[in-house]
Amino acid sequence: MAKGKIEPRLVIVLTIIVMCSAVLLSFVHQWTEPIIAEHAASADAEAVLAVLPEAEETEFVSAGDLIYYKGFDGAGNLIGIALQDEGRGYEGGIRVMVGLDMEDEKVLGIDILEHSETPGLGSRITEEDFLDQFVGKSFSDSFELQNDIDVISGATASSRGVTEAIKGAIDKALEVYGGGE
Amino acid sequence: MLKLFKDFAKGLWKENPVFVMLLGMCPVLAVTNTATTGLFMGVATSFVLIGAGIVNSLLKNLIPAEVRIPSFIVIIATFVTIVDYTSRAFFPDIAASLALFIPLIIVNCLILGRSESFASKMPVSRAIADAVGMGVGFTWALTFLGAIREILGFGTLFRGTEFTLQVMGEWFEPLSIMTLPPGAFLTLGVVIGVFRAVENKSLSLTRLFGNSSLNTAKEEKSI
Repeated sequence: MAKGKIEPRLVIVLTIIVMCSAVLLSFVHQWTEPIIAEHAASADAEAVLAVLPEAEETEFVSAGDLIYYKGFDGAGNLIGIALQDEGRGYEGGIRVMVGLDMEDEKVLGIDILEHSETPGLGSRITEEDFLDQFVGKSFSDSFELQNDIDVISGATASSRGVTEAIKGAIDKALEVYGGGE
Repeated sequence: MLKLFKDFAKGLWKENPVFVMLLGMCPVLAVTNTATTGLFMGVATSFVLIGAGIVNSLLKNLIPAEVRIPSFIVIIATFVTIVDYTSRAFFPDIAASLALFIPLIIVNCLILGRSESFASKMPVSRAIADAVGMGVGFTWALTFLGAIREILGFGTLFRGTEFTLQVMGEWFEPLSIMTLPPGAFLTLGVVIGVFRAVENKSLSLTRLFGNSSLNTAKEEKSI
């Protein structure tokens, strides 16, 4: 091949390969996307029930920018609310669903919705041993790593991400419920 | 037929991608903290290896030499993206725990290496035999490393699946270092050492008795 001159065959072959790839992938995408979206939606619904263990019915609420779920028990009494927030982990965002008892100002439950932490290391934030320590915490606790929160060894950034997300969720919830509702 | 079997069998032990050729070390070190993730990663990589091997072998006369590497990468990336979508759709839990290591299969040098050095020069049947052998070799190696690390690091086998086995008793204090990256280096180093020791032993045995497997042992040394 002469210097500076590109054979058209190279361009054509590569273009055809990329086009075939794009067509194939758009089919696979179309086929799998609804299933993936379904997983995400059912994960959200499950997460709401997981973080509000006593709730039997949930109600979707959209208040301005904030989207949250209200959880009611069998008798229709409000148990608490569940909302999402995101913290910054080691590899990327950590999306957390937090269940809050707004009356007693306590955390009812935590569930990790999405994260991209290192498998086996930061990904241990999803384990119950780590998450259970947040249950029952009062809004006024310091949430300070090491002192108030047990950090997963080797995964400080991931632990901080979760803690940030929980604190963020509490702040958001207090804004909505601020001044007593 | 014998040739095909040889193409297949070399990946299992003699040219094992992990223990002999030391290819694809990134997933080997990163996702072998449990047998489950090791197995899944091995199967996912095998699928890409076989798919890319077939396509690259079929297209070997069509792709000009100047653009073969970009073509291989596009073909490999296509199969990896298929794996990424389908694993997120049908195995959401394992896919979530492997996270970004599935897209990273694209840069696994084992796949590009086999496409470049074997599939693109061979007929489809031999390319398939080679890819299946390498895939099985890669999968058993990852599962084996994962099993060692999981047993020592968690005391279980195949965590996070329905088939979880509690291997160690209550007395067992999990060695959390085995689940961390240093555990991968320690395990891999010891296993490769054992692998070499076994090979040397068979080499000295064949020297003593002069049997016909001497030739294969010599080939092994020259790799």
